[in-house]
Amino acid sequence: MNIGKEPKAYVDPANLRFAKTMEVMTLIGLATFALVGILYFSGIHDLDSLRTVTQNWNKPSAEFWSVTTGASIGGIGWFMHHWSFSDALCMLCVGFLGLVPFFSIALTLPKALTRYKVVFGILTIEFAVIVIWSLMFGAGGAG
Amino acid sequence: MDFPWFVWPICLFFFTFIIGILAPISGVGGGVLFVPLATALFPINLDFIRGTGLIMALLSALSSAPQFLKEGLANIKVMAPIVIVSMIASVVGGILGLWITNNVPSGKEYVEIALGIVLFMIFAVYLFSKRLENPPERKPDFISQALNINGQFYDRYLDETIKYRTSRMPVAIPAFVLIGLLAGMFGMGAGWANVPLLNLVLGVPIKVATSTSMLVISVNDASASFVYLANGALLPMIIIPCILGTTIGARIGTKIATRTKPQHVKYLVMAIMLIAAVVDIEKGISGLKIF
Repeated sequence: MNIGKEPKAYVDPANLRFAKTMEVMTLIGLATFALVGILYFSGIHDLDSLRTVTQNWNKPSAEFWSVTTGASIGGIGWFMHHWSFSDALCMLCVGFLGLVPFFSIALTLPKALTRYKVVFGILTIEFAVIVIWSLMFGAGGAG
Repeated sequence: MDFPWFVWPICLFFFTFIIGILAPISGVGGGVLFVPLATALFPINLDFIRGTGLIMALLSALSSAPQFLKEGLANIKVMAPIVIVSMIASVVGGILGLWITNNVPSGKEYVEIALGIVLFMIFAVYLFSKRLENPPERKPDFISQALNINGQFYDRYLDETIKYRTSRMPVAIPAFVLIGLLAGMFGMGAGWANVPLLNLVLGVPIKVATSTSMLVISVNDASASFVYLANGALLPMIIIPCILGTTIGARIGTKIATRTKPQHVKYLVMAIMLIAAVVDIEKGISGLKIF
């Protein structure tokens, strides 16, 4: 066992770029999420009162939001409309964390070998379509 | 039961704190424990539990993957062809899961029963799957050859640089699609299935398999999380204490696991998983009122 020795294997620069992007963005996302989380549990500016949430969280998501806020869910509109509330800010932070792999893939593109540029290009477009489709058009599902 | 609201986040915190400790010691994924146990124990709708499970798995993957990448253990070359298809599958899984619970009469009960069945499957995988430290090199398939999927890492214990290539990618990809679908549908990380597939089918060393699995989970769960986000299936009241509990618990669990990894803890956790599976199926069946 040689703990403490430097790795003796070649690490692809694309791997390192991917790692760096993921590391930095996750850190930013988590720090923001922590701050917004404190704001949420302080109950100062919540869309749903904390009591209402626990009284209704046994309902399916569509019914939950309809009962607690009167909002019809589907896409980004329903919480962007209430973006200044801490609940919606929490959701935006989750969205940011969800985008971390997207940015990691996209920013790795320039460092990748030609054949992987194509693969990462496809992945970037695919991910972008999923995000836009989910957030703009509601993605289907509950609504 | 009408508890004051603040009791619930405290309970969720301690619940996930214990899961966080047990997961690294037992080698059973936190998400795999969280979703069925929370379904069985808390009066929270499955939509929110699955959404939270997905975010917990995502954050765990995002936190660990960068270090694995820097050490050359996780490999984006292995990840890329897999997630091209499994990403779509996990989004479809998320949509399907939410559609069933929200639109199908007694949909929640059907999903609970399906979750119990999937848990039995996971139990079997944990019980019977083998691990190959460094699988023997096989002839690469056409995808692995076209993309030149290979890698190397330095094994500190062997004091040796281990090189590997992938094979049988066309066989593995459909299996990853199915796993992605289940992960999106039930909000679980899918390390339980990713690791044996990467190790035994693709033929990558076990350390690379466990690390690269985190990359696959990060992409799959991130894409599916937008479906849950768009459908309002994420609640800060649940997510915040759960993330906090798991993160703190996992740090303690990892420290314990580096010193001791008793086999009986793994069996205990697997037994808990079996009980959760039975409870979930029982809840589903009694909800359907067929008996």
